[in-house]
Amino acid sequence: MKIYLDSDFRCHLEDDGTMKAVETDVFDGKCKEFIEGYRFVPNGETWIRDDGVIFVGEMISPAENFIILDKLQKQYEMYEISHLKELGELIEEIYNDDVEVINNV
Amino acid sequence: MSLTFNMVGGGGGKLKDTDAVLVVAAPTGSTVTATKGGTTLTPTMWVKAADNTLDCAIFSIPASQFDSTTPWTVTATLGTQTASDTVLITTNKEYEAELSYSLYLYDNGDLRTAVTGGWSYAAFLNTSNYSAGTLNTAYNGTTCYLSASGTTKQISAVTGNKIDVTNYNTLYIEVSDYIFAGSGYRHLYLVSSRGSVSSPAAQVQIDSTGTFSIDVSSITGSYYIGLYLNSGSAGSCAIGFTKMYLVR
Repeated sequence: MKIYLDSDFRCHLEDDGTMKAVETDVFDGKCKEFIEGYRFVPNGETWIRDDGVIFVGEMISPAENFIILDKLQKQYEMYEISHLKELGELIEEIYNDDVEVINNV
Repeated sequence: MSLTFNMVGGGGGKLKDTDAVLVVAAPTGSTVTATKGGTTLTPTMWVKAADNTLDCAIFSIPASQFDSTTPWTVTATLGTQTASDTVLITTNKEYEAELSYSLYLYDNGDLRTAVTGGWSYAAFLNTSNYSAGTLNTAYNGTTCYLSASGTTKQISAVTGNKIDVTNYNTLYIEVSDYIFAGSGYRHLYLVSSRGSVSSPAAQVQIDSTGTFSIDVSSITGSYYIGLYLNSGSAGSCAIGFTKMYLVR
């Protein structure tokens, strides 16, 4: 997926016109809130934390409380699972209806 | 822990036989205090540890302060870093404490087993497709060395215990050996499960010898910490590290 990085290497799903685009599969399956709580320092780039510690890419770490990000992601996954289940039941209902029609032709 | 230190200068006669002596080792340049209740003590004297990497603050604790229930809190400060520990002082003998701003997970052949639970291989790719490489946790006595000869091999070095990173800001790894071609896994991860590198809390890609670091300042709780490699189709690979440590 494509993500966008601001000047502090914070991740975004939309470019405000100033950001750098990066292609990565690290966040595949992750919800918007999770992704945008992360920092992604690309290979060859350097991020300096407020206390002066230097991090060299490719380094990916949460910029927000990871416990909260993880909970948001788990909620997202439960939502997706419940919706997939509903979709699956709907598809099965349609299939069964079609099968009935075909059989009655 | 037994400290060996070199006396610097004369004794000065500041320690009494009836006193307890509290020796607190701290990284060079630190300010060290000992506190109990409303009492804060500064060192009676300083000595250098024999390896010259630590300064030892010597505190004289009078008999009137001996207490079997309330410990002394010793604190070291250097810049923005602090570390503390507690020591119960009950009689006139020598007590020791060592304060460090770093938590070592691997140190030149020392697996730091009391903290890490040891280092071992944990498969993270389908073992029917990827066979195991070789892990030598004390290569040449100093290096944790992961190697995978040939293609479609996987190898990892993962802590046996989950490590609580709550009070630390940075995870460092010092890489001494690096052989890698291709684009397979060569990452240091913080993960919830030893056998999985999906959904890590944080990671850094190892691309050479040198020091690499992960920002863990927004991560609380405990995680397995592991270095994971796979040779993929590109051929053999190897990574060795001599140190891994967390810093406040």
